[in-house]
Amino acid sequence: MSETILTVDGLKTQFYTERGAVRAVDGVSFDVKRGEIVGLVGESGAGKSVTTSSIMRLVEEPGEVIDGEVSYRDRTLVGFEESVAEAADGRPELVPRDEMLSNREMREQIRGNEIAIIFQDPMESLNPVYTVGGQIREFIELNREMSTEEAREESIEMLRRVGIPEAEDRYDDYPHEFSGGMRQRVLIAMALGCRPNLIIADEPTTALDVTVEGQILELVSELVDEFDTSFIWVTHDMGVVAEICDRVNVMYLGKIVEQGPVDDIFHDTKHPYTEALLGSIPRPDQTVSDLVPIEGTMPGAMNPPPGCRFHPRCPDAREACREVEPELYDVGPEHRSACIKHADVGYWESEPLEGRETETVEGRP
Amino acid sequence: MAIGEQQTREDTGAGEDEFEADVGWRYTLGKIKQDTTARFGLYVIAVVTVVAVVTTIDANLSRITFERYDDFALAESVWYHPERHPDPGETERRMPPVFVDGGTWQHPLGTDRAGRDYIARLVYGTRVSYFVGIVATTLGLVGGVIVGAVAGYYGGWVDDVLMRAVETLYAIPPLVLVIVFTVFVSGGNPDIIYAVFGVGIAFIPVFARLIRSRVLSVREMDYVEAARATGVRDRDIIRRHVIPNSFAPVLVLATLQIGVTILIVAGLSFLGYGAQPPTPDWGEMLRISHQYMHSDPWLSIWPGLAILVTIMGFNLFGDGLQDALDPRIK
Repeated sequence: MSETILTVDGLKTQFYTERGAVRAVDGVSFDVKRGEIVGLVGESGAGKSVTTSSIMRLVEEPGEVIDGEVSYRDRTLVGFEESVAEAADGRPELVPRDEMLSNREMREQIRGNEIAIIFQDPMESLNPVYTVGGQIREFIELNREMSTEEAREESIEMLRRVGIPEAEDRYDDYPHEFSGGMRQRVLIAMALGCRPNLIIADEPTTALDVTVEGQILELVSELVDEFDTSFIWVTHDMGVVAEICDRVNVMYLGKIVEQGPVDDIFHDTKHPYTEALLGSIPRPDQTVSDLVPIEGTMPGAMNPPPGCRFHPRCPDAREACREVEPELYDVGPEHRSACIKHADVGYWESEPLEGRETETVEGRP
Repeated sequence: MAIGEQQTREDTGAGEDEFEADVGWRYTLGKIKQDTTARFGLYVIAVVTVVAVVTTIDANLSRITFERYDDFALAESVWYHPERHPDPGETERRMPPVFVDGGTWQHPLGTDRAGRDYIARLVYGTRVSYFVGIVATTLGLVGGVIVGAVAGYYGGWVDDVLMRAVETLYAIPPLVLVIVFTVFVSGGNPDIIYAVFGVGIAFIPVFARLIRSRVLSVREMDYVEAARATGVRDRDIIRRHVIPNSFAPVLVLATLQIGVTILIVAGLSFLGYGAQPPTPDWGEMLRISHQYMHSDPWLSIWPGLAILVTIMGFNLFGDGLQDALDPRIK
């Protein structure tokens, strides 16, 4: 693969609530290369969507990106430096760096024409009061300096490309006259119409049934080949990941726990959480009782567990997991896992957590 | 009715997983046509509109229409001016309606104390009430929608500042605003224009609060987020995406509000802060005629009826519009 177009490094986003700060994204790093589909996987609440809106700088009050770097090609979307004037408590305060794009520059240079987003719910993502064609045209006109007539031609062409039959006639239809799968295609046409280099797809097929999902995934693969567009594919569905992603980032509670090429993630799984995720996918050769669900629910991001964040639910947890906060350790070419099993920090010497060993022995005959 | 609905559904040719009700002007008007009371309201509004527009386009129309009446009852009489026709004073020229003793077919609804034909006055009074209702309501609507949409969309301190300001305005009665306008802008010469501005501004809060509550939910919609993520400017998002999707209840309120405005401005005219004589206006006619309430009740009843029917028309239409726009009610 070629040029790296997006780099995210140590991104942190917090939401300030009355009960304290919620660390929704807590030090996430990954990159996206040209023409590749990068998966961002995790349970609900893992911080996937907040990560993507942080990249686009669309986090709203009471949320705030507080640290980290996001650069798109040679431009800084998020960047901080220590302020010259120190805060009262002596710790240097982080302030946005000068080269960080202003909100206006983000709007005019990045959003839409460089990075576009496809949202989760095709039913809610189209404005019900305008025709489908008009909405695509609006976005194209805005981002590509085309005349209204050219933009109209282009919109019809995009509708045709994403597989809307009789695109010319459907151009003047309203969103409620489209089915869910068709609307999802329209959203993809909208994003593609602006000719971005990177499309962030936020669970775009979650609301669709499987056959339509299959068609959409096929369409996306074709479009990637054709336009050389990169994708960040946000999902909780490991099946979708296996089908289209080149590389995968598995998120848990605001952190990336494992990242690597898709084959390694599936066939050479290193992190217990990824393993647990894979173990909980229903397969035709298993009955429901064979499934191994992940114990418990994800704790709140307000007070994440000390040490490894996954240890309260991890079948392999040992005493050391409570104390040592894991970093991403290299476990193969381009393959990293945030589990202290892979580092020499005393995992193998420490005792299993109470009750954990017997449970795993009984749970897995 | 069932057939009508079926047809509408077929016309749209929608997909099988259609959740929303049908939308669009044609559909809304179609539903109103099925609703007898709303249809009646629509007819009243249509008649009032035609009368108001025609009398505005050709102010001398009454010369033709009322030619068979004597000179003094014609357009001249409508525009009877105290300077050209000195106050009749003791010379009472009141005349009762035709069905009361002493009435003639020349003046079917009688004349006022200056001998001006009451039908002509009522007809010409329509345009004052009508345009006052529309202009003042539009003023409140435009101001309120802008303030409310901006406040709701941005939230935070913008919302606080704008909404507190609007609530302060809400605490001031329209009459006081009108008096303030009259005194400070014209130096104390009351005129209908100040009444219109005062009432229009007094209605800004009503619209602002209504649309803000809708905007709060609309701004969370994915299509607004999608527009932001595609680099659409905030003001275009508000104009193109937020306001149109929050507008249905505002439209209903505006229709009802026109009736309220007509009533309030008639009240202001009655108090002397609205239309000034010799301009024919229903409220002003009431003001003059109320002194003859006992001897000539008809002089008060005719403009009162005109106000009643007009307001009822707007209210019935507004109710029908609400039913048609909100599928949950039926």
